Amino acid sequence: MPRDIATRAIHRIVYQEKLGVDGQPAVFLDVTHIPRETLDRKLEGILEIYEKFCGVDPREEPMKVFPAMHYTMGGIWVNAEDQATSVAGIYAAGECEYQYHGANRLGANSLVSCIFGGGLAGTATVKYSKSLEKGAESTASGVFDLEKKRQQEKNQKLISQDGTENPITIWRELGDVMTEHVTVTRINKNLEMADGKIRTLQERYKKINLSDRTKWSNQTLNFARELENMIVLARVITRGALARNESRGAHYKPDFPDRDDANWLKTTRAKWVNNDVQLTYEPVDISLIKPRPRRYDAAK
Amino acid sequence: MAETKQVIVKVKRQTGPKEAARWEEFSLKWRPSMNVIICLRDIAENPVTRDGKKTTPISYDSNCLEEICGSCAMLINGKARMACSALVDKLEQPIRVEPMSKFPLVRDLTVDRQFMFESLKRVKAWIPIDGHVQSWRRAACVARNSGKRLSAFELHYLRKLPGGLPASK
Repeated sequence: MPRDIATRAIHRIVYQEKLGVDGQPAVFLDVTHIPRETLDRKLEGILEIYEKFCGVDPREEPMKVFPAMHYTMGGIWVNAEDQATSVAGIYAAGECEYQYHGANRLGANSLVSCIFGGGLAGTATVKYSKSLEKGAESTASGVFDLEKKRQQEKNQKLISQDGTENPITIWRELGDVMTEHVTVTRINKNLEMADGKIRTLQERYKKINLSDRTKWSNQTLNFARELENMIVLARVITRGALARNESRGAHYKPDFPDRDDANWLKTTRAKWVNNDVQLTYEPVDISLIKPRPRRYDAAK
Repeated sequence: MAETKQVIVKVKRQTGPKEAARWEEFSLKWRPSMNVIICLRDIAENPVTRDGKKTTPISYDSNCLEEICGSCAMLINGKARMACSALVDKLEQPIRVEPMSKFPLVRDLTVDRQFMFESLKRVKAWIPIDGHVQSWRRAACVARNSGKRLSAFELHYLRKLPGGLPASK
């Protein structure tokens, strides 16, 4: 069973049919009919992990499972030559950047982006810094002071404001809405609803209360700063998915079940402008390998 | 009913390395497969002690949440272990949570583990992967000695490796 098909089935059982185990996002994966010796020979490591974190022996009781997000195929825009981002002097390599994977990542291709991208970015960074006529030490201190002040003000505001919203609660709600509507099965009206919900979270974020006004090792402050970016990224993913009316790789819309190369053989590029997502597209390089339909029922 | 089951957690708290330590007790709603990290996160979502006093979220380190990285190690019921795999149902309550005692304290359960990393560096606690780097270096040296011009990428890595850039003939 290919994992995208299995994943969609689990998603449907949980969210459309509301049949998750104990009302939770989980279904049973039962291997108890397989002899213990066979399980230990073939799956020992995986079953041990389950046993360790769930406290239940999966050889005796069915496992509770649910698909998890563990990789982002999109990411920071970089150029193909040397991994430079749109900010001069900042390079990105690895899972944080968008190249290589398209709409689905092939197994082991994350290493490509780490090793190859890292090699390019490393040499490019050295080259860039050597090409500069002046370094940080000759930059007017006012430049740094300005940014330092901006960040301090941001921190101070977060620490001192007397809001009513808890950052963990917002984070949890963001995760719930994204998991239900913006992962393995995407339906336009649900995506619009999710975008609306995320915008509400963005508003509620303005009223967060850290419950901690101290400045020493204040982890809630770090978390709140990250959360602000998570909300922006969630909007980017949702709006990009909403616009793309086709199915391609991990992006699956039951209302548009086929891949549409005529209209959508292109990469989504998002920009954050005036507190909103602006989408443009760039072509995909298919000069070396022509796209072909992805089929599970035929030999390659 | 399972819904009303509570989990009692006692956390040793200290706002900074020079402050006095104190204990705070929390009563949390039990959930299936709950571990100590989930308890700490629940406290952060509602930082109120068992006797109704408002407090601050607890400072602690965690990262992978799958018992690999080790960053969530702390004393749980007196034993140093990772909080992500410390299952509430297998622990005696009240669950006592303290920072590891052999490291300098930063705040609450967060400790400074720098000296451990320095020790790892000192004993070179890693394994060169399958001799890959060395064999690649040998191949690059041979290529260079036979007059092949190496790419900027190869030169860059050779400079970084033990032995540095081989002399060209």
